[in-house]
Amino acid sequence: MSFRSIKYFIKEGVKSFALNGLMSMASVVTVSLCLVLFGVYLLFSMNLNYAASQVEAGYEIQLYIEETADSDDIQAVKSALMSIENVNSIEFVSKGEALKEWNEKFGGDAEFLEGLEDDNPLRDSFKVSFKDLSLTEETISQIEKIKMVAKVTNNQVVVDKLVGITTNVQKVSFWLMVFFAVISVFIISNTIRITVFARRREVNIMKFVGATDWFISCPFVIEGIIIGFIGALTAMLIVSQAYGYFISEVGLVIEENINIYDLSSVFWVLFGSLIGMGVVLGASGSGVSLRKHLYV
Amino acid sequence: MIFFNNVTKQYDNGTIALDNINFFIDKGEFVFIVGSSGAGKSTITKLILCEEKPTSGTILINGIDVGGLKHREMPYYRRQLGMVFQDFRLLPNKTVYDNIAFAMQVRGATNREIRRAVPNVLSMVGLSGKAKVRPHELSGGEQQRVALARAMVNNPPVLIADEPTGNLDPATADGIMQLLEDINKRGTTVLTVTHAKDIVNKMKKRVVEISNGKIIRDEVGGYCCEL
Repeated sequence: MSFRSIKYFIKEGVKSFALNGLMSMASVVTVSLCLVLFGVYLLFSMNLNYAASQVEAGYEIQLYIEETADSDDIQAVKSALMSIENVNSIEFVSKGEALKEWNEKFGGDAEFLEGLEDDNPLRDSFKVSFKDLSLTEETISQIEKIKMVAKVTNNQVVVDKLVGITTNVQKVSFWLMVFFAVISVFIISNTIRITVFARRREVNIMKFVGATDWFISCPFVIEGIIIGFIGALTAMLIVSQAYGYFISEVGLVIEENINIYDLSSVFWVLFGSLIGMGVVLGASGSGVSLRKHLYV
Repeated sequence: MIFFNNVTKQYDNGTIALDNINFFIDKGEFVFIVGSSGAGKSTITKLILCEEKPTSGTILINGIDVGGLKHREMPYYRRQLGMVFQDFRLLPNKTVYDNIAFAMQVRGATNREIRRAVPNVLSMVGLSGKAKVRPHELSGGEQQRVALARAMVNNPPVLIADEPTGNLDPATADGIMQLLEDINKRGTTVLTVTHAKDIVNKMKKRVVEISNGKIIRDEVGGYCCEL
């Protein structure tokens, strides 16, 4: 393929993009709509995985020991815990320390905690983290069988709920994205069809002088790619602005518990994905049209 | 060079355009195919250009079985044919030079090859001074010369001319036919499909006459059919 051909392909592609003004704009708008959803989906997934890894990394259960237990019993519980295969680390929290933690947590409002130092109603406990989180339930049932263990708290339910909600959001945005991708391909293919029709004379002449299908369709594919590319740039602008706003307004609230990515750390991944997806949509849109209207 | 062997073409609507046609055109020949409208002349061009496939029979062009060509092989096959049409089929937004260069570009010719070949072929058709002009600024005869230059720029072994003088006045038409004869003298096989009586009579070449899809006359001679 000579340089002259490449120049020719690009020139023709740009030219018909410009000539098709309104249709090109319509295609760009649908593509960017689709890609905005794709961007949202992407950001959701990335942050969900990030959050999940944080939750997993900090995941631990707390087990409380019977009030009647003495220090020998506590020692026994500790060694029993250590003998469980899946246990990663153990941290003993005495009831005094637990009370202190409460005091810190509730700060000045903790009037209801006053006077409890002498008659501490809290229990001694262990914080336990696991090696393999998928075995959580089995390990917990093992722990529950240990003598003098009163209760095991497990925030698995909360985690499950969080994951459940976010996967639902993910699913909805994924299917919306697929829906808009189909529409984008359809609209792009329509735009390209108009171009092919407007240039059917030229296409015909090209066939007679022995142009390959590839040579004939290249400018049209480039036109589709231009549509996808501009759509992707628009979408990138919208998504990055929206995400920046989201972080500054809503992100702070979340960030106390879970970190989310800031814009600069996801920018290039987002940019690359949107451009890539835009180009794929544009090219497949024109491909659909060319198959129908060129190869007769 | 061009061989039609028991070729029948029936269109989807049931019309039989060609009915068991046989003819052979040797390398370097100049042949007219004549006949009234609807006789099947244009079907012959379509079959040669591989726009249509024969219903039965074989067509061999330059040793290639045209009916058996796959879609992706067609462009390479068509590069062996030069083609000229009644309506010239030039690209209106390209200059004369670019119109001709385009036919080379499509085949992947280099810039150097293009720069060498285009002026040559332009001088052959007598349009050296018109390289930068657009087709609509030319007369009909000049446009057909450009089309001929485009057809010949890749030195095809066969030139198919479909009603090449259909849109031209008699004097201009004579000029084009003269050019076709010159091309033929250089060794290119020329097949001209026409119903222009005067031209056929003047040229005294081999004439194949078609009527109702059958060949009714195939002889070297000056006269044309009853049209």
